[in-house]
Amino acid sequence: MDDLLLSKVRLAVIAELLGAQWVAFSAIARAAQVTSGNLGAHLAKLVDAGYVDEEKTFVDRRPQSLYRLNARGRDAFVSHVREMQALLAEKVES
Amino acid sequence: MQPTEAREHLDLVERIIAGNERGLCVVGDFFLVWGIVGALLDGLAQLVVDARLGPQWLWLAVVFLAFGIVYSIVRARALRRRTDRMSVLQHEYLNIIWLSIGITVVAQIGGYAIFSQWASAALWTLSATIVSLYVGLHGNRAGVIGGVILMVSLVCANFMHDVAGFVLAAGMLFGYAGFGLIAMLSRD
Repeated sequence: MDDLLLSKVRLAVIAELLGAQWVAFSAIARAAQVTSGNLGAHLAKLVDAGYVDEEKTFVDRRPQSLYRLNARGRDAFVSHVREMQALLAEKVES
Repeated sequence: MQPTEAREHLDLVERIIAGNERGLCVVGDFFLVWGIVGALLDGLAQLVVDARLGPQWLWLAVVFLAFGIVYSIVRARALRRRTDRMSVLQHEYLNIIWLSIGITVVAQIGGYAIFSQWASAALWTLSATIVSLYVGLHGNRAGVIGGVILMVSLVCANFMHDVAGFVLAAGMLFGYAGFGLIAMLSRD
C-alpha cells in the first residue's frame, strides 16, 4: 500500500480532488474536515510527492491556493483503493 | 493496515465522492444574454431585409456580438473567482459553451455568405468543427488540426463561391475523415 495514503486526511484530500478540475484550499479543508494548519502540512506532502499540483493566485488581492490531482496521484489513489478492497475481500474469504 | 481500518478509509472515500456529486451550475445569465443578443441580431437582420432599416444599420450587429462576448468573458472571470471548487463536469460544460460561442462567432464573421447558399453543407462542417475541437481540447492534436482545417474550409468556401462545395468537401475529407483515420490508426 502507498504509505503516503495511509493517512486518513491525505486520503480524504485525494478523494475530494478526484472529481474536480481544481479545488481551493478552503474547500478542501471543508471537505476533509481539518484545520488549515493541519491541512497545509498534509497538502505539502502530497505536492512534494508529485501527486497534487499547486497553483497560487490572487482573488480580490487576497492570495488563494488551488490544487488539482495529477495523473500520478490518480494512479496512486486507484492502486491504493484496490489494495484496500483486496484486503477486505481476503478477510471475507478467510 | 487492518481490515477494519481499510473499511473505514473506503467509507470515507465513498462519503466524500458522494458529497461531490452536485448538479451542474448552468449559469443561466449566459443563456439570457446570448438569447437576447441572438434575438437582436435576428430582428435587426429582418428589419434590414424588409428595408425598414438601411444596410448601414448592420454595424449594430457588431455591437450586439461584442456585448455578448465581453459579458461572457467578464462573467466567466467572476465565476472563476467566486468558485472555490470546479468540478470536472462543470469545467467541461464551460468548455463546450466557449467552444460553441467561439466557433459560431468565427463562422458568422468569416462565413457570412456561405450559409445563404450552402447552408446544409456548411452546418455539417460547423458541427464537425465543434466535435473535432472538443476532442482537441482534451489534448488530441489531430482533433485540433482537424478542427482548424474544417474552420478554414468554412471561411475559404465563403470567398470561393464557384467551388464552395468542393472546398467544404475537402474540409470534411481532410479535417474530419482524416482525423477519424488517424484516431483509428492510433487505436484511440
